[in-house]
Amino acid sequence: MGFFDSFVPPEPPRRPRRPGLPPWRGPQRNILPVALPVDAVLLHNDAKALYANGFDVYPHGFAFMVNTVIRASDAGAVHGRQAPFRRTANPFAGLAPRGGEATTPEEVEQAFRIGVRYGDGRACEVQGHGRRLGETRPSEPPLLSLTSGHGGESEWTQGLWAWGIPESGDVELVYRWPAEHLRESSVIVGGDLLRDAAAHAVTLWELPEDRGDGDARG
Amino acid sequence: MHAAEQIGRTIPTTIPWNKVLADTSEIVLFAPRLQVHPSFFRIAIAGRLRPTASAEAARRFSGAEVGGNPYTLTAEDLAQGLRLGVQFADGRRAVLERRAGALPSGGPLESVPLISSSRSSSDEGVFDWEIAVTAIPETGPVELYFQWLGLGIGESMTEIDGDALRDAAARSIQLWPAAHG
Repeated sequence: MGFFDSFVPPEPPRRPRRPGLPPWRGPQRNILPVALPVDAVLLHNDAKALYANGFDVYPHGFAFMVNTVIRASDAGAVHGRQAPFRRTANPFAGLAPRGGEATTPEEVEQAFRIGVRYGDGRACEVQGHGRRLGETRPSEPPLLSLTSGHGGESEWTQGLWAWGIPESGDVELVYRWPAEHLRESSVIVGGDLLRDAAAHAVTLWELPEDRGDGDARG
Repeated sequence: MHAAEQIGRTIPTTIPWNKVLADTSEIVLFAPRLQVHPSFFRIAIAGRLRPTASAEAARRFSGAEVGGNPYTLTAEDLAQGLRLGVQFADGRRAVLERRAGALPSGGPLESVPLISSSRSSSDEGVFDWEIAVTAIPETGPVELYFQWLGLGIGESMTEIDGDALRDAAARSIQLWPAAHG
């Protein structure tokens, strides 16, 4: 008998079954969302463009992307601008500390900001980076949070999750970017379009809901 | 403008597709949308592994077969893994090669479509992927072929509306002219 024959053969581990994210934390992986034909240009100047697309509607909210592109010939010039970011095209970088370096009030003032507003006046804006571990359920929608993002110096794609779809009225995406001389502006996402899409999203399988410390990014 | 030059210079037009490509006891494979630039388009491909899927299915679904280190792939993995291809009405066709790569740059516009994987993200039981097709046919639909033998999905085909594709390409926005010279 060999050495290992005296031990019980190891059993492969069971695949863990992840609980579902609570809806306010992010898109649910057990849902087949409905994509919308929404493309919105938020900013377009000689050096930079910002647009929103990739709208996916779930029963309790919608995901979308904010894309930043910097004109190739200006990619180097961005470093010298009075902008809240230096080494990335990420427009949200000005809202979060980088490498332990605290964000200054000036940077926050100049940063790109975006939020959602319902027809009944309820509103919120992205607060810093993502929904962190241990946060408790907010009292009511809307809630806007960052999900995953990727890119570099010349472009950045940032995912966002908007929790909540109002029972009536449209949803306004409100934004401003003082560093780019972009005053407060907004685009409308049709409420009926959102509600119809949410009703057609398909639940692929039921998951036990995680009411605890899951991470919204993903 | 060459396909590669359009990246970062054009804003694509979104066509929501919401197409379920395959729905089996182990996996749901779907294509949420197309994003169309003037002379190329991206197809979003997403997969969700059912929680009841077998361990073998989970292994096949894992990143090694979708977007992981290509140097660990065997010929068997490639044959059994997810395969994608397109064919135009004029007979031109291409298949995705399982290697990472940016859109080819330089030279004239491609006379044949090329497919490359562009963006991907994956997590336990989830992947979201985009492939880029570097041409838009002047006439007819685009046939999208797919198979994933390792997960029981035999060769299948679905059509992409060519008129919608061409209309979307015409509506895409050029941000800045291409830099030449």
